[in-house]
Amino acid sequence: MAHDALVVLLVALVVCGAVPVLVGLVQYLLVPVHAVRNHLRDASPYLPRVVVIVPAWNEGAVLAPSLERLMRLEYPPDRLRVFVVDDASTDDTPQVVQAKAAEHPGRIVHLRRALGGQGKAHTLNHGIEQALADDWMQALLIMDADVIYRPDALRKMTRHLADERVGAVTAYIREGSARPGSVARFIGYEYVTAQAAARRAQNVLGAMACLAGGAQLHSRTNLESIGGRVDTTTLAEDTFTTFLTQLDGREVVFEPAAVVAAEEPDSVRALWKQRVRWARGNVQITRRFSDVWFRRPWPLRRGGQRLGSWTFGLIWFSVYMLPVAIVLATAGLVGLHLLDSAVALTAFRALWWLGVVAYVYITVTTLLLDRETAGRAWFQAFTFPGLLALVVMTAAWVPGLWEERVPALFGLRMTDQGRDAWQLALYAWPLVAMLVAPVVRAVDGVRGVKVLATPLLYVIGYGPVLCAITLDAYVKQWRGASAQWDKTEKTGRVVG
Amino acid sequence: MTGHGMAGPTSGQPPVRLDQRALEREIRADARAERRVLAVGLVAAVVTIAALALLSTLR
Repeated sequence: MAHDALVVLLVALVVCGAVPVLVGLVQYLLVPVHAVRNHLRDASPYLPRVVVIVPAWNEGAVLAPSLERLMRLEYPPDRLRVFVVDDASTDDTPQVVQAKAAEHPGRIVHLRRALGGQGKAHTLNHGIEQALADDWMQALLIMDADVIYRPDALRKMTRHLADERVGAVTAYIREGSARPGSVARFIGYEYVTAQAAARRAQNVLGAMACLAGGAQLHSRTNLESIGGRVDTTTLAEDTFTTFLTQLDGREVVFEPAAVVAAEEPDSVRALWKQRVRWARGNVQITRRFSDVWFRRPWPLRRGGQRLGSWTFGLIWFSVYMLPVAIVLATAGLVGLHLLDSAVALTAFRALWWLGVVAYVYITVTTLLLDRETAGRAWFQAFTFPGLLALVVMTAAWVPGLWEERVPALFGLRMTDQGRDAWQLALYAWPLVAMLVAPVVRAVDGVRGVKVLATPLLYVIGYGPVLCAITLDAYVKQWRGASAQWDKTEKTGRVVG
Repeated sequence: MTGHGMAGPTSGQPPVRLDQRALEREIRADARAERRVLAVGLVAAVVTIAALALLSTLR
């Protein structure tokens, strides 16, 4: 009896581990619905007077092309002003901005904070305060100093603000490094999944997780309603603003046709630093909005905010709790293997059957959604879960492949103990990959062995590295580690 | 505020029309283009089924 109860409990743990995979698949199944359920039907021509806020701290290397591209936006010049908020930069940022301001008098304004170093949110608030002080501004665009807007991007965003129910609009941020390495290509692919796909699904659900930090367009009404400033108490001011907008009763829309290119980190260490900040921000948001989750049962009902829907809650927590799900699934499978190996094998195959379905469907959808990114990141798409995870998938789908057929090719035969160890390794791999991921980061920082970081990344997988980063963020947040706004180093090699 | 008869910066390219009609046409064109995500979903479903069938033959 106790044995049976324990087996049921362990199977339940494996099912918990499958939830994020299932939710990810469901989210992707919503993407095609965006063909008929999007905000374009309620959009109409609208070209408000826009102030663009560009926060800049030592951005001399990247500012000039960004500002030049802003000046070339296909938008009425008399309705566009750019405020560069210089956070007491110590490089040539002031000179670069002043030179551009002289080239475009009245259209580029240099605002300098005497005392800087408080972080992006404070810098943004300095600019927002200036913009709101004047009645001229009808909409405000928050962007990053290094991003490059396609010429039609802004007007494709503003058309949604013609609908007064919409408070904010975000664009599709695409990784746009001119010479991307492996990490940047992984990020490029990840951005298609997290933006072009996930945000379309969130448009369908009517609940948006986050306005991209480099492309947040707010109506003046919305900005004033949420307090006329962005949050400075968390590391995710963009997500905070997104939540406040929706909780205040206005919609947030993702416009996939408004494309913005951004340069992203191209080393595991830089990625780790950036993503720990993001993940810690999400931990903070999850706590701050603890009264929002799972309050509304029907996600597709019209009217009101839908952040509290079960569907959106499951999507949010599937990302947030992914490391926990991996631990639970591994514990379940290993425990079952010790108690009842036949049940363990069935649970393993069921879990990875779902994994294979999700992997193939999500990969194909993602590659088709953005063929430009697909062209340069198809290998990263294929290896996203890691080369060894692909071995686990084939082991689940083709019983005996690795235990019998492959050894037989070399005239070998696996012993019973060998099979047992192999099976345990398959069950534990997702957890092992997550725990080994910090090694990739460590190797990336050591001269001499740094060259091994990229091959290791392909073996372990980019996905497990992201899970490990989330786990690290939990630990840092739990320990109350210093929460500073770390700038991601950029070089200005972006092609729009 | 719909920008009747306005044109955006040219940068050496033909001026971009930002009048009401042009912007409406653009919205309709983007709405039509967005319908392709339906095809994307269908193709992905077909490829997934085909991949699973292929994997099953290896069993």
